[in-house]
Amino acid sequence: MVNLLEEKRFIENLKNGEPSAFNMLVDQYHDRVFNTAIGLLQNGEDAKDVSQEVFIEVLCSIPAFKMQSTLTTWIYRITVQKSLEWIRNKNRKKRFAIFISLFGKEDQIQKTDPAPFYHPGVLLENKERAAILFNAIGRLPLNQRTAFTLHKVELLSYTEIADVMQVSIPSVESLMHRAKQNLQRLLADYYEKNEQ
Amino acid sequence: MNSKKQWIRETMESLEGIHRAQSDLLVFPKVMDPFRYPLKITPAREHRQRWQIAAGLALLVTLNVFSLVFYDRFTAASQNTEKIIASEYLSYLDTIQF
Repeated sequence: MVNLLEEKRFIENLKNGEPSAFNMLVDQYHDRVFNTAIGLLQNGEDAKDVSQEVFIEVLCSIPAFKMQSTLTTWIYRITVQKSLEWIRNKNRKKRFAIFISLFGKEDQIQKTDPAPFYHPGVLLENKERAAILFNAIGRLPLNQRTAFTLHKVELLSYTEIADVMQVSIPSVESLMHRAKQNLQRLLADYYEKNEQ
Repeated sequence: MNSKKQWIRETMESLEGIHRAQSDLLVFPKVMDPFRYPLKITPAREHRQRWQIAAGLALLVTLNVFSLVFYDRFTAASQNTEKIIASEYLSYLDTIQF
């Protein structure tokens, strides 16, 4: 109850445009926002840019925030939306570049395999395997990728993920189940090609 | 086969013990130093107003185009109608025997 009251007061201060409240917001949430973005985007520079976009969006949209969800859920939601927008834009540019390459030079063709991504928070002994896993995660459909990343990288519970993605808990369970099946299939293919 | 399954299982578990990636607040210059990096913020209400104005202008232009097109057709049709009425009247007059 105390936390809810404090949060309400904090949100009022943000709506009133108090700079100290905004600084506190950035201080409290920048790691969560950055970690979620870097998990989804698998690129540190992109994650920095998206994180800034998220806080700018929060600054612009806080007057319209109706407190139908918690502030944390709302900020996660914006982070996921901005990250997915970034991915879609990047994929669109890639498709366009491939189309152009049909009429242009071969060196304009985009590589299909991105550079391996080493998440800075992974344990040292798991770094190489985690890079292979992240590569597979990057090939999942966006909704499965989101659910899996929020659970395994940002360590959110299924209930929290359901709130962020605005779906039911069984939907999250289904997304996770399908994500794991797809990842196992992709890893099996990788093993056949590289590890044998 | 067992080694493959084990490899897959170990890879799936490679994110165990992960902790959050730390970000330095200084990498958020646009957010932390708004005077040096002024934000071009267009509030949501302004976006809506711009779209409403654009929709209104589009509607006006469409109405004008329709009225010009139909005015021409109407004028031509009404001229034909007048000619038909006049010729019928004249032919009617011809039939009257005084």
